[in-house]
Amino acid sequence: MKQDKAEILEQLELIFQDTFTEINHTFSIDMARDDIEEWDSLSHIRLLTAIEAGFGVQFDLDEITNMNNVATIVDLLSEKLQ
Amino acid sequence: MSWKNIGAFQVDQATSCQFAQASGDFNPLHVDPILARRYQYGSTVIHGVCGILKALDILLMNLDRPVSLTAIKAHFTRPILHGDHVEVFSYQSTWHDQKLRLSVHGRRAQDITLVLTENGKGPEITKNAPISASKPQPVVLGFEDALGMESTFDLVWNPELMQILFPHAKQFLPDYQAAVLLGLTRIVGMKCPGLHSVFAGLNVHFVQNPSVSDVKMHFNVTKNDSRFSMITLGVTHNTANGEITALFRPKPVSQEKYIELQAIVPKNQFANQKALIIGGSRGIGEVTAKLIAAGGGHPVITYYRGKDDADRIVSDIRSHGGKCDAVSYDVLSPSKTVNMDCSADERVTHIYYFASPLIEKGEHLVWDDAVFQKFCNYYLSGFGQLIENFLSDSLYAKQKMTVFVPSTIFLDQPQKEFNEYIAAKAAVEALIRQLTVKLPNWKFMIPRLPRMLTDQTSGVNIDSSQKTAEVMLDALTSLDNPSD
Repeated sequence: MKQDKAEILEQLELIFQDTFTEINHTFSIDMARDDIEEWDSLSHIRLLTAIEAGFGVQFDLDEITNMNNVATIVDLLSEKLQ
Repeated sequence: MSWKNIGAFQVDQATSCQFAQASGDFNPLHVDPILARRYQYGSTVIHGVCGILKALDILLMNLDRPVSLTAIKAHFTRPILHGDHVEVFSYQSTWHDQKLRLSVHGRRAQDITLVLTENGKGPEITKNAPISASKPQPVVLGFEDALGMESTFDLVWNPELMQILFPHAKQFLPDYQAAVLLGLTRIVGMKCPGLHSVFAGLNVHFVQNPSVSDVKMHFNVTKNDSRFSMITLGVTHNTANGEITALFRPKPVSQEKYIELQAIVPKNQFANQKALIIGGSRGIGEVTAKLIAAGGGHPVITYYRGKDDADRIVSDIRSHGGKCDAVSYDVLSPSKTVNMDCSADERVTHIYYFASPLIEKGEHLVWDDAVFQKFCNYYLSGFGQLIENFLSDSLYAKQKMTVFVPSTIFLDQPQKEFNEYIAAKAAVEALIRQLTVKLPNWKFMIPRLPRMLTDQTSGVNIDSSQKTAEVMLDALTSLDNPSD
């Protein structure tokens, strides 16, 4: 289903809130892995599997390696949902 | 509605051993502090299902009436270490729908979603504890081995232990539901993935009002995801069905064997070294010992808890004609002068100091005093005491000695995290500069080493570190031999 970036960001925020404790009032397109202490290797897996389930997409290994900030995730999702 | 704190708990090592008896999950990650120090958390952690049952115990103490689970879903987001103060929060939308959150130092460790009914206790399970007296060992599977795997096994049920561990859950929750939850941890920790596992989450639905509860539980691997080394398992019992997700944990890092290092070290490169290697039973210390022995030197490695690891290294080196000894030494309680333990007919010429706690981030954004103190205890207090022990021997105070202490490349390449670790290493560098002035006969080396592949740097699907042996051989060959 085609979604614009604003819609993707909105849905993504819910997934981030479900994954991380400290996200509630700080989520933005500028957020990166370094901004969230809880964003370690285990929560990265949980975040990506939740995004895949939520958006009905699948990422390859190269994409997963680069998905370290919200803007990249939004761009990737936008491409996949075209 | 908002989250409400409903209680707290702590689980110690002894309790985890009781939980292992109650569940049949004896994975060393939970019950063997010596093996677990080589896993990614650096110590034992509590069973995830133990956390769930502790939280349910607190919830049921507050509810004070029998309930039955219709469904339970849980995510294990962070490990809970033994002794951690775990706060339990509840978010209740209706009586039947509850969410529990376990939090350690303000960080989410588990999220549990419950659907409850007011059904009674249901059918009892006859005591069933098919666990042998000796500690059962988990299976050792690789990711590929698990594909398509399935098995049926008998649930463990020990009402006396359940009464001790979770009295309110024992009183108010149907026995078979607790037994099924215990079965889930046994699947992951002992059967699939087994030894190298991390329990990630569960989602189970219960049949209401079953007339009888079987002890048989079945599981089969239904999905696998090689990108994350993750598998999904279907689980069925006559009272429940659902799925669990588990990850394959990286195995402890194995350094190169002695015979492999012999091939890269010139034969007598380190022939004049009687080297005391503090923290030599694994990681950089292990590699250093093998390199020195391969170069004709005589390493004496110290261990604190890893006697088996140290003995394995000594055996590896000696079996190929090298010299090596091992002695016990605790840098945090240096009650004896370790140099006396290994002197015999040779004097120590080199000291290598690799003792380290788990290199972890602080809990706070900028500074965590407790974490900094932990690093200082190892890198400064422990090191300082060792040097004082040597200096108390007047001969050592006068002779030449080379002391090698690793620093970190992070001092040249500031990181966004690990403030306390980096600050402690900077303090070590300052101390070494002082000692260089104070002890003119002694030579101190404190190279800023890069990140290398050791237990400290192994992570889930992370392998970007440099080869330890290559880096250390470069560092060792740059040392002058004090006996020359």
